[in-house]
Amino acid sequence: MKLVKYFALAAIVLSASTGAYAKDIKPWHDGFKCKDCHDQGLKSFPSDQSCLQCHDVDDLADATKRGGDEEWQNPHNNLHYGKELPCIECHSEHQKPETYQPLCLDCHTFKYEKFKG
Amino acid sequence: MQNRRNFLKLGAGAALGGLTASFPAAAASSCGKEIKWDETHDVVIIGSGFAGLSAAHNAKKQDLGSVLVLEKMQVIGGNSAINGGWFAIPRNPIQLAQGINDDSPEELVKDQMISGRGMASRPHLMRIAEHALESFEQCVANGVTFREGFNMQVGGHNKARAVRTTYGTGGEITQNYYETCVKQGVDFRKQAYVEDFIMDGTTIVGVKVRFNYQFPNAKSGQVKFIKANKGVVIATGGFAQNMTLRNLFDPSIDPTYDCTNAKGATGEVTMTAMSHGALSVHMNMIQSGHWGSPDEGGFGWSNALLSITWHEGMVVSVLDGKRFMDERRDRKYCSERISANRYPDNSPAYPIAFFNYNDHPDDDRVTRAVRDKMAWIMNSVEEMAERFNIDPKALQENIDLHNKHVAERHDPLFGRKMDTARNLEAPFVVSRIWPKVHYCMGGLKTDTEGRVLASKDLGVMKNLYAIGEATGGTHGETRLSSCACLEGLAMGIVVSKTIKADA
Repeated sequence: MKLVKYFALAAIVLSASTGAYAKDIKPWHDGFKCKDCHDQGLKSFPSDQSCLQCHDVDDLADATKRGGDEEWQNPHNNLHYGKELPCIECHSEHQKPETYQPLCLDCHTFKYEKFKG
Repeated sequence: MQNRRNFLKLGAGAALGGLTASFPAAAASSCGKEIKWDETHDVVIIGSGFAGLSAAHNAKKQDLGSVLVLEKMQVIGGNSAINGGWFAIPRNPIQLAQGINDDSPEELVKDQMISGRGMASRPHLMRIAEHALESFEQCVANGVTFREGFNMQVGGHNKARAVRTTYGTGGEITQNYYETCVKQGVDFRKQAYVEDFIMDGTTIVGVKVRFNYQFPNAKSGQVKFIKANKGVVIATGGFAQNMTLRNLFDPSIDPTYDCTNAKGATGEVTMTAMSHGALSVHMNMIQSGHWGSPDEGGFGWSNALLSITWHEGMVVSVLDGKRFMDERRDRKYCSERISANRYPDNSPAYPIAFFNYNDHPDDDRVTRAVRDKMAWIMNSVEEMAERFNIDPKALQENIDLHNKHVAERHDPLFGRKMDTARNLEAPFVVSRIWPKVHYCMGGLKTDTEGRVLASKDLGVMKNLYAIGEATGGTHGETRLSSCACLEGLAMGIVVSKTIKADA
């Protein structure tokens, strides 16, 4: 844990001193700065409110709507949590998309071809 | 920052370190008088599954004052939200409509005592069963819908008494209860991890909580102290996801078994209570669900699909094509026999389970499983034998033998009840099966009203309550299917009355 602290400190110092981003961010978020999302400090994950400044849950649920027997495979409106699933439960800004998967795939073999991370 | 779930992929050493740090030292906490409280509530409920939600709902109905629910994860519902939505209710309306008039709470408890193998608690089971119908009626009042005309006999039960939510998940219950609770003014805090209890002797006066906690980092978030005027209810579920505790309490559990549980089922609050002197029992009784599938993670679709197989189909070993168990027995019996199927190198020889496709072509238990490739439609015995590497002649012989037993309505091999068994002929719906760690029968010992008992003198720990899977001693060696939902919801009703009586 100490090592993690040192790295975090180094990242903060580096970020502050050079203006460079401490972490890679997704290409569609180019231009955003740390404080645009990190509403709970750099050591914490952002709250949902941060994502919802720009995104709307109902719009997302509509955009990812599925028909027929796949109705409840909608990642933004599902049978277990409805629309209450926090964004960062599935989406990560700084991780490479190939290193993680949506929460649903912990138990189901649904297909989420459009999931970009 | 790392993605939270990626954090779990760190080496076992780091994970172990994290978990070790999360178990508080047994040193006494500060006396309540010295604490500067950040907040005060009447009832503090830890956990937001069936038990916690029911306790919150019923605490409001009992006018117990302000109710706070603390949930360490980012989502409401725990294991309850992802469960299969099965609910055992003697004398439920569908059962009565089916002409089954001789069921009762006593009949349910009779079945549970058998499956508990001498280790269950009849008084606790009766207390729960007595509230089955009321729990069901509360669900309906809160907007939960159940499948029309659906009332099934599930493993180990002697009567058809299990209803099921419309879409087959517990999430339909948790979401409806959550919405009702919010309207009632229940205060929910997610990412709120209860790190320790504040005790005055064996009386609990409050809890030490990490807000903005990020599972599983035990040091994340900011500490606050919450005072509880009337009671703290532990509704934190079991610890099936905690490999350290699993290995400690039952080293015989195959470490390669997957787990059906949500990630947060790690048991820290139970350990906290024990560190303050709460009595725990049956911690080594950890149940595996025999209905797991190696072709999907966690809980998935398999449980629902196999509810058809156990009644109508058969299970055979891929090693010799033979049946090896009574498919309608309970989880312990079936898990043991399934997991005995091994190749010479001890790797799993996943048995196959199958029934007639033509009996259920449109059932969503079938269509979903086939669509998501954890079951397959096989058009002949030969195709099935080739797909799963079984001797086709042996497989055919054993299907023929089984069909003979179906015709005779008698199973001389394993004594299976054959009243629902079907003559099997292709095409089949086939899935592979393997047990998954599912439920902890052990936990905190309470009286029948939900009060936690102290290990020092077996007296009640004042203001401390526990309900649901966090408790122990109730089910004994095996919990019957469809009874966890009942227990959580029923004990939420019971404990709210207890707190009212004790306040």
